[in-house]
Amino acid sequence: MPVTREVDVEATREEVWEALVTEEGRDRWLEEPEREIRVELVDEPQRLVWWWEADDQPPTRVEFLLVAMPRGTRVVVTESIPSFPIAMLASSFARVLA
Amino acid sequence: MTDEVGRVFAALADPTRRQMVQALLRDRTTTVPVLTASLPITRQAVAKHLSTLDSAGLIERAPGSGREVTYRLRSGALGPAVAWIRDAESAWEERLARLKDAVERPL
Repeated sequence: MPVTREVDVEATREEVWEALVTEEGRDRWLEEPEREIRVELVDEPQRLVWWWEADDQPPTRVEFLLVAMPRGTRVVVTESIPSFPIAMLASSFARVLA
Repeated sequence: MTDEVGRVFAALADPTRRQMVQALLRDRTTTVPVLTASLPITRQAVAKHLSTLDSAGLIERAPGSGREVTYRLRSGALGPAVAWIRDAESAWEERLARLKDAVERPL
């Protein structure tokens, strides 16, 4: 099951983009230097996809969408574990345990 | 992500083991012979996959099994995975708040 969260930022998409794609920009908010980022897709300045990898953990896929709004940019992030269709299994478990 | 969650994810990353879990969801219980008959793998392979699911806490031996061991899904087995989702949601809320701060108040 993907996890999705969003935030509205009072800045242009280009300004938000810089904070996502440059190491210097990420250092100011990500705070997780131990996880290795492998970029899958770069569609400047609206869509960025990276894979997050760490020891002994299944890789997670992180997708950012930058949507231009009248007063800034909406940042929508979705993190998922593609190897694990959790929604299907969770709903099935709920049925079994009901 | 904790080791416990990692084990659940790793166990379910394998398509054969997902099929086994699906069979358990459908039939509630299963045995090595039943799975061997329905999957294109050997009895030994079935037993090994069941052992992996057992180690991950996803299945357990049903009580009162006869000569042939009967397996069933363990109640609450997906708890760690659900916890991962909750953690990931709150982590992104914090990260996005920091991102907003960083972009709106440049150095």
